[in-house]
Amino acid sequence: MANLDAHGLWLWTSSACSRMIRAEVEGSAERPAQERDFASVYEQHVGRVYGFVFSQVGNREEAEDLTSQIFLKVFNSLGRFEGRGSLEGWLFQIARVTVNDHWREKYKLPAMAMPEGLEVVDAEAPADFNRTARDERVGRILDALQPRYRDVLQYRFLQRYTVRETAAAMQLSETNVKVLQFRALRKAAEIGREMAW
Amino acid sequence: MTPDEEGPNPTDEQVEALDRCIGDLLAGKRPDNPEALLGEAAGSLRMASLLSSYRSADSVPSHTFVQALRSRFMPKQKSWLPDLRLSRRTLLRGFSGGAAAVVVCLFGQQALERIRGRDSVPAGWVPVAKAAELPPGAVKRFLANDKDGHVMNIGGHIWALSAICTHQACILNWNAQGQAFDCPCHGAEFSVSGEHTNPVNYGRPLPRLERIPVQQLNGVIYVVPASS
Repeated sequence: MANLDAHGLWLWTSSACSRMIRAEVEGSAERPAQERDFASVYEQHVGRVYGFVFSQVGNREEAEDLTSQIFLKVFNSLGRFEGRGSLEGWLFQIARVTVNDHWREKYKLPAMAMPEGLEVVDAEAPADFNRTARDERVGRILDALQPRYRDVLQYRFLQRYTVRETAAAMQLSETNVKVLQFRALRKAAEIGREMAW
Repeated sequence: MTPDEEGPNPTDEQVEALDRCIGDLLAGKRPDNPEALLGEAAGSLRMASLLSSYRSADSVPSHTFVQALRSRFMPKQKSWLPDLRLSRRTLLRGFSGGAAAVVVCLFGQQALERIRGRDSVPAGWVPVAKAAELPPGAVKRFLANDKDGHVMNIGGHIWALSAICTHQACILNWNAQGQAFDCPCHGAEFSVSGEHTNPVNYGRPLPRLERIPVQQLNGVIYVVPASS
């Protein structure tokens, strides 16, 4: 460090020389600029994008696949993002569309269940994502359900009871628990579609 | 049997298929897509996905995944500014002709000899920012060789810290509002001096963030990314 200082002093007092080197430094910064932009977008957002996708598919394997697809799209189109609106908004729009396409293709969901119009999609998911918002959303959806639906989903998903344990807790047969969770999820999905993030 | 019935009765196949998928989700596995759940019933599975993500340990990406995906797009992490060790050809190329040019070039060449000479600049100083980009209060992320870090200007003092959380090596984000580095994975927070500050018990005291040597020279800020 001391060496660098000494030589630095000697060296960089030559203004012509330093101007020249600076020009070189700035000139060559142009080409990898996009790479640098992508790097910073990736580092800042990969955690939240993955978290959002995970909240939509519920398993690590698909969440990783879709997160890779999303960043591939971002990588290929970052040059076309012209700063209209926020970067986060743009990024999460790509994420939402990718997740919706995944569901639509995999389970052949009717278009009505997930309208394609961006306004509607925008109302379905946050401009940004965090786990607190997700957990609050889960809480709001559960609160909007009738008590038995809420109970079965709380036992199964929040407390992670098995069907047998849930049946014991709710004094139902296991078959009834399975039917009840089906109905409860169908109703929750209906509520979730109408409830903004 | 259940009094609270709404909507059409699901078929036995649908009920069983959804339950199998829920079992997979709760076990952390990818559910297959059974025929019985195609169409409208998949909406229930999507809701099950949201519910099973609630407080799941898989809510954060694994470090391995983040690293692997990063290296797919950025095979080698290069600094966006060139290394200090400019070649003579690079230097010449950056220069237009003329007599004065020759003089300066010779100067430049001599300078380079000094820079590259033995016992002069320690190898491995990498430029990460221009000083003009870093007014007091500013914090900037950098990638230098394989080192993720933040370089910052706190009240005129410039220093750099590793951006790797000392809990599970996730990449920290700068939180300008809270003037802290936040970990997106498990919420750890570090002060600008690198100390772990939030009161959460992570099972062991979290070491402070690694300090990275930093040097400012002619309006450019350099770091030594090698940890030794």
